Amino acid sequence: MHEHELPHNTFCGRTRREFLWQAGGAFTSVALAGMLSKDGFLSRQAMAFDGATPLLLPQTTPLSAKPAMLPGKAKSVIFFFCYGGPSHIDTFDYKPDLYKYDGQTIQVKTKGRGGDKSEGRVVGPKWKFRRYGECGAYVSDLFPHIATCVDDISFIKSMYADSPIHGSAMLMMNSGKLLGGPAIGSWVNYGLGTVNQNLPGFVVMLDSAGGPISGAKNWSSGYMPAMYQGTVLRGEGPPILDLANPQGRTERLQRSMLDRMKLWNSRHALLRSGNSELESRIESYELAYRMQSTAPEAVDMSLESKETKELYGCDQEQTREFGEKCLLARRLVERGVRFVQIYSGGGHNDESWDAHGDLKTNHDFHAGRSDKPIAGLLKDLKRRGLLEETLVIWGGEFGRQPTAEYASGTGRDHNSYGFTMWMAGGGIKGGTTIGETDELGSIGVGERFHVKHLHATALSCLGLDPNHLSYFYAGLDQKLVGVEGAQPIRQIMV
Amino acid sequence: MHARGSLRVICLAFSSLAAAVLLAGAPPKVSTTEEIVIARANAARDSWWAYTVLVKPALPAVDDRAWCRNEIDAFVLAPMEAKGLIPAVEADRIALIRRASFDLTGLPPLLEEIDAFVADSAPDAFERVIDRLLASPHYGEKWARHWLDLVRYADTNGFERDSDKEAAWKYRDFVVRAFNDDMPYASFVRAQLAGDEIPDRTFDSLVATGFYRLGLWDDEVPDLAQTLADDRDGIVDTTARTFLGMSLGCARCHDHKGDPIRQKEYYEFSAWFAGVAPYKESAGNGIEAENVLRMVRRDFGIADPEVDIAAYHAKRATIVEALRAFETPSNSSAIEASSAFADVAPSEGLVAHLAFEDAKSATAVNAVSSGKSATIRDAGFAAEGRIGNAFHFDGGDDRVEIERMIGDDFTISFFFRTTDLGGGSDTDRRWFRGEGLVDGEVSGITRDFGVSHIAHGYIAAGTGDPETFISSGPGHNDGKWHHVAFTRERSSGDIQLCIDGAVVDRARGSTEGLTKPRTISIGGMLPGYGAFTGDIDEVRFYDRVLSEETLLEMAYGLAPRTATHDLIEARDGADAAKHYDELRAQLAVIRPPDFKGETVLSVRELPQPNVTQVMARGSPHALGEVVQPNVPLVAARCAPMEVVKPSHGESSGRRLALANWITDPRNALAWRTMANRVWQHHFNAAIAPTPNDFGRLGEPATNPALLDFLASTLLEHDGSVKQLHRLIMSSAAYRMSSVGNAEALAKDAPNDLLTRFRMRRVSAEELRDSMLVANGTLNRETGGGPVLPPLPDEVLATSSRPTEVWPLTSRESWTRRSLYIKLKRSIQHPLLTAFDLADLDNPCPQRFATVVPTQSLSMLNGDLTNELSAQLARRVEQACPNDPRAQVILARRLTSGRVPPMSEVDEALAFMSDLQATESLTPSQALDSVCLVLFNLNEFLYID
Repeated sequence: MHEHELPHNTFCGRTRREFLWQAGGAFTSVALAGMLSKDGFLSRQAMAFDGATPLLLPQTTPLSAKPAMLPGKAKSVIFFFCYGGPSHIDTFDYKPDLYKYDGQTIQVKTKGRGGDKSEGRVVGPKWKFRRYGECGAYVSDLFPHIATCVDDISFIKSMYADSPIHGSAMLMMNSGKLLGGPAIGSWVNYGLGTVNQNLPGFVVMLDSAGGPISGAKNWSSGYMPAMYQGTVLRGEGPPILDLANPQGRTERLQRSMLDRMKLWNSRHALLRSGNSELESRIESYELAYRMQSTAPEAVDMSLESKETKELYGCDQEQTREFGEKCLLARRLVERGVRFVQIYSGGGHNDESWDAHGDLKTNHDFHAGRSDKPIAGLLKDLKRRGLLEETLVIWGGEFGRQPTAEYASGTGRDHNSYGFTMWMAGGGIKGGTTIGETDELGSIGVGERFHVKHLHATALSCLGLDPNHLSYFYAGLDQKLVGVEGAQPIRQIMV
Repeated sequence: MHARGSLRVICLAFSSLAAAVLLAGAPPKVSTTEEIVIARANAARDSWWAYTVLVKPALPAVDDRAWCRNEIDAFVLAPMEAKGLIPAVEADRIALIRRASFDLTGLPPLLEEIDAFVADSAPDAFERVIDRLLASPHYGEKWARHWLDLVRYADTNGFERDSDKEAAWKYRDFVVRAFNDDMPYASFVRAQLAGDEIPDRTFDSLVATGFYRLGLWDDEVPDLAQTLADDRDGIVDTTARTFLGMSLGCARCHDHKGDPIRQKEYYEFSAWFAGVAPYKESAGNGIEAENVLRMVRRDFGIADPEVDIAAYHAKRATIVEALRAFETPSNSSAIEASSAFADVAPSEGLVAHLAFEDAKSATAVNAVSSGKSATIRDAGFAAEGRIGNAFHFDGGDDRVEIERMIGDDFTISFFFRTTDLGGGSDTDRRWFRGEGLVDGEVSGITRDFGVSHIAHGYIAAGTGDPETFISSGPGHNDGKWHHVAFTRERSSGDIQLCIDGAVVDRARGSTEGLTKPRTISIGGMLPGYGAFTGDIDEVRFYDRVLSEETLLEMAYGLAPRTATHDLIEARDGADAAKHYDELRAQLAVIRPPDFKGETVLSVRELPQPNVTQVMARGSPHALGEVVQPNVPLVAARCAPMEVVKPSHGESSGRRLALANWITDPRNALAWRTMANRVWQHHFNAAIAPTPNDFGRLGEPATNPALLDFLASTLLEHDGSVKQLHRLIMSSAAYRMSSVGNAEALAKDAPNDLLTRFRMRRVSAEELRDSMLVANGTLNRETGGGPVLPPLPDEVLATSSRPTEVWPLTSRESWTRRSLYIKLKRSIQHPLLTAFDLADLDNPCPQRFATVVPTQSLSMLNGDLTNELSAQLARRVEQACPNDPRAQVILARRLTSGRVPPMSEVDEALAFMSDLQATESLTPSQALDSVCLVLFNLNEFLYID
């Protein structure tokens, strides 16, 4: 950030920032609640104060769209979270030597659910790899459709994380911290706001098997106000909790009640001038009402052509559920939703990618459900010109070990020392690969990339400076990438 | 986005300048960061408002003395007058009682209470309302919630299993009681930080130390050192913020110049807690129950369970002595000698008997000649036994093994004595966690059995598959001989534990043959594990269940009852025999004291506090200098007292020394932070606007003299928070209307000068509770375990275990106050979350009050609000049958406290008629709609 972009009317930045931070108890807002927004920082810190202060600008809100800090390509993110930990060496990280060691016990240091080990029985990869696209990237037979998109994809093959345990690793992938905190979707909305007040800015879609472990903590806004937390969107029935009128309540009745409320609320506010919060609350009902009609339209799949639905695999039983979510994701980013997270896998054990027992069955199931839909989404975004402004991320909380966890079977234990994630779309240089693991795929070698580098890259693609996007809490400028900061992976960015 | 780099430059420049000014005259000798920080800390202690000496300030002069009701008003009015402003007029009575009721109890006033206050023209009418509210049990419920936000209270540990924090709710109830009892603030602090170390510790003070257990805990630890460091950091950070208003956490990674706190000082502060046993101190999954749980009697510290047990044994001994006198009238002195203890054990069904008579104890002879032989596994030592010699086990590898000879019906009988603490935890009395007495344990859930000694003198026994446990009360490690018998009947699965001839516990377990153990081990379970320290004698195994009477005779060496009766009758006559029978009957009815201990989540210390080292960059893998407990220099107005190990020897005494330092009257921070919090929750804005950060990164107090006046008052009244409420609420400032005068609105738009009362939205809990009060369904029961009312399916579906995550509690519990709803880290009540429940993982000194459309959706369309508003409609229908006008008026009063203007009643009636006409609603349905509207009004959600 350059000097001339400094906020002008802050004294040492700190004073009012603190002041506003604390004022959380007094007020914050929605739309209209009026924000102190000319000062770029203030509109992000998001607090107004009780009473009509001269600083209030009723047109803007903490969630209203804000200019990016830096030039960015992407405006939205779609994050495929393969919960449970997909095996990198069976999907995108081709290890030809591994096949021949199948069944042999070798020396290799691993750390997983089963603790620290120094040797293990190799499980050879269970799928064939082929080269695809102009870039010639290897992709296993698990993902024949995604394979056709490799020229738009950048693979990061030397990822590592701080934990090989689902609970803490999930929180780290989502919030940058083992203990959890504001999720990346919260940070993005905090940094950029949303361009569509009628839809939530951070949407989460779960697998029909259930939520991931730790549930809502994965999309929590942590110490930030709840307006930044993820909203769970369902593909069937009313998409958002309490969006639909209760059974039997007509549209007209709803409107009559809202009108009655507005009349009485306005009269109440009239006697209490100087409290803009009352006005905000009146307006929030109108917003809610608009959301009631906007959100169902956003999720209405009947508006899509047969061809499009087929592209996503919505016409086949195996891919229907995931395909509809992918299609929904496109509709949401089209409408300005900033961050969409789609979980592949839910619940526990083989309901997720957590293949401890039978790798083949597990990964065939999860890849089979998601491969065509994800590829369909990439293609659809591309042909609509949306791919360059939508960042797509794919990966799990960690990868899997080259060796078996149990004495028999093909299952692999968790591996946070080395795994693959990929990104595509806005801000990403397609057809590239960076980083590698050793010949077994057990650990990243050479330049390794931590989860925080992935986060830094995502923020950068959106035009947010990962080392300056901060939120003051507990005496510190908290950042998604940690207090010490992290650089984006420039090599894979355009 | 703010340019951090540039800001830092400015801030440092500013700070350096400030430091230079503070050190006026003395040329700053600054060569290292540490020296700079030390110099600044010394300077700030006397110059930064929060660290200065607390002195009760003089009252400022004001012109409008008539406005002032008490001292507070002079402090509030003076700055206003300086700007030429005047305060708002007094609020009307309905606004006042609503404000006071919500502030003190979190509940709206009842209509009778409003009417009484409105009609009360006495000059102290409002003061009496305050007193009534302060005396209400709901006062503690409301103020406990403020405190629970600070200490990040939750009922679960978070992460994958998000397991329950067992008995955490007792800490919540302790806080409620502490406020209700107006516990002096210093005692309140000491109880939480060192309730186990204070000299007058009680059940409640042990519960209070649950304070240490409220944070996140990952029971599947990815990096043990990191997890332990994070857990400690949670304690350090929460303690410093909550009790001192200090952001110490900022110095975890490096010296902190903004606030003059060195990194070393963070670790010195951390060292106060170096003895605190974590949930688990070794790698692997789960938690160590003995580190965090205790089994405590309610009368702990008041009554002494050991006294009860001693009295029981004394009573029995008296009768036994009398019985023996009957048995051997010619030589009563013989009973004194232990060698005269009669071995009355029956021989029927005896399959093994280890008498441990061999002088060298080199072998253990099975007195049943046809029986299995026993093997000595380590050198044992002969000791004086209950009968003849006994076997002494030294707590090392000593064991005696014998091939298992029982598995169906059996009785295991033996004597033991010990003064050892015992193994495992008194809260986890599964026999295999203790120290082996007689054990047939095989690891895993399998067909095994055993008897062991558990911490604090419990005797535990049980059978496997399914694991079934029984246990005695504590105190059998008193150095006296005790007889233990464990019986088992295979056909029913009944197991019984009999101590000194009295059945103390029974259960129904496996009906399988308990054939898994190959050998039975005496004195230790496995080599190096579960080793007993003490003496064991006369171990007998029977393949049948002996009766309680027989076991009583064996325990005391009493001759068989029937035979003895006949003998006495023949020898001394019928009266004597009758007397003998009476004594035997008396002996049988004297039962051991009932042990009514309950589980408490509390602090426990390791035998020795861990060494505390500075962690470079905050990393537990980069350990540096060793540090000792100390307090931050900037706040060190007095030195901490010497650390004294408490007489019970369970802990180091460090935390008590810290608690005493924090609450020392010379340490102004404790008193300022608490006075500030009390003010904050009455005026919806604190005097020091960053209540958890009084340091230089926080905001300076807007009215430091007022804060010091309040803090001094709190201190003067022995830390009575209720007195502080009375003082604050009796002020004219508190009685101001929330409607400002025009001049004040223009010149004091943000209300910094408190020219009018600040309206506030009700909190999440208050919102739900108010709906329950309005519709008359609130269940006012107080205390107890968390309640789980129904949640929408959509919310349950976000869990990885949708069908198991939220088991509902009883229907009556669904209308309990929101305080009691389970706070589960992975799933939360949607209405409460929507209305800004505190983040459960971090200290929350002040809640957000967001206004977002999803709140409106849940209030309008949610099942809960629709159900509750329909109940309101039914309530007013029943109260005013066939009188829609009266129904509307009552509903309005129940939701706002006010009688609505007739014009609004007419509007409501017209609205209802319209709905009946256009929507074909019944009158009741139309009333439902009106009631739902009322729950959505700002008048319902905002307090004037």
